[in-house]
Amino acid sequence: MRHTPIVLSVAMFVGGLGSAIAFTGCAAMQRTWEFSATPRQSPQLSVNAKVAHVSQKSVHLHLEVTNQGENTVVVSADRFSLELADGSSIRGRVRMLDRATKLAKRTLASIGMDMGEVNPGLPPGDSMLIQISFRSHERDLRRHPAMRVNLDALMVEGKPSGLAPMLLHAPPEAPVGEDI
Amino acid sequence: MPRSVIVLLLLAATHAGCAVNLSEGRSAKVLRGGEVQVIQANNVVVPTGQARELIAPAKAIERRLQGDTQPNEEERQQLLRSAVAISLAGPGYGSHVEIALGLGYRYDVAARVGNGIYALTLRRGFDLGSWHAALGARAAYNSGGSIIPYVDMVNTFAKVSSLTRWDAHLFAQAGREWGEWGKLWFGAKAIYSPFSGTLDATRINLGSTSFASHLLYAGGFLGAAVGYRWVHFFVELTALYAHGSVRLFDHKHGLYGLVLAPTWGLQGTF
Repeated sequence: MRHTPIVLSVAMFVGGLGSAIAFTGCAAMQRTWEFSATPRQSPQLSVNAKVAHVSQKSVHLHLEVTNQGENTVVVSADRFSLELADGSSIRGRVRMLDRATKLAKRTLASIGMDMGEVNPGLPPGDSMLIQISFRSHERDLRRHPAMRVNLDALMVEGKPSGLAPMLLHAPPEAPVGEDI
Repeated sequence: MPRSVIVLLLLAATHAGCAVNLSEGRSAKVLRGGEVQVIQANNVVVPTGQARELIAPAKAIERRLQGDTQPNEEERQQLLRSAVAISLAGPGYGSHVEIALGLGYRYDVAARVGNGIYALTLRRGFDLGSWHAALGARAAYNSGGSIIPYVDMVNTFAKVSSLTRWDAHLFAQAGREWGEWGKLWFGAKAIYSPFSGTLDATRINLGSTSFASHLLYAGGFLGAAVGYRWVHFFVELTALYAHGSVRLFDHKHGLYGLVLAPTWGLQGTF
């Protein structure tokens, strides 16, 4: 008799949750979706998204940047932006560890300690990985069918890359619409 | 502040256990699909109406009788009513843990466990621009037991045992959030609370009786939280007016009064 409330409570919770999931469907509860991305190319660079995780409040993008040219070039990443279909924009940041490493190198260089180039050159045929994250607490990013990433934030020798925006597409099974 | 209220607050600070779970402890923004929230809430239930009207007279009667004199009929009824009313009001400190899960389509569900209370909540949310609103329902079972005893012994002449109750809550809330650091919410709620128990009054020659009835609560709550991204500290004040009655040894006793429940705790959202 002492255990009746506990059993009752667990039964209530499991029953309530089970029926709720059955009615609403598991897809609406999936926390992260892997979006597909269109690769972009210019005579100098090719950019391919290795990872495009889209969760409720954030998008994590791993860009593989390959030097297709004949010369070594310095590739750097400025502030990226993610544009939603309704025109609203979310600013993205390069991974904190990468930013901290660059800051440490710059700081040490300013006091005469050489820890290597802040932005080392990318030899022809080589690739580098740039990890970017976008965060928005106001929107449910999973529910957008498509979004655009501005690749002009990718700088080649200090100049915008001129690459067309990268398009991210939700998988067909992902529920779409922010009312979900 | 009446002395009885001060006494009750002191008791509340040193005794754990509350017989009703009145607080919400969650903002009006319903969780999105797959989002999880864990809440640890602490509350102090202060039944100010009963405190003023029942505790002090019951204590006075007990002091006068010194345990060896029988109370008169009016004092007997006062003792009976105070014992049941305070047991139902459950003054004191209580805590609970709640785990909530977003179901998608603006629904979330939450399970609450603590101090003999087991509850299940379902909410439907609505986006109103920068404001949010939610309608919710909660079913709760109160076993009447707790690891640490309730503050329900206001006199030694009449003792309540085997007290159990169900709570059916309906509430509506609204609020807004600022960035990922601040939340504000407020709302109104009503509770229908059927209960049953046993009253032992053998010390005043009335024997034992079982009772069953219900209480109705109506009132509101106001809460705020401050934190960053995943963890917020919240405070909330719930004020409800309780109304009901119970029949004990062929006498009908009114059960009513304002109940305050200040609550504080942590919200983790993941």
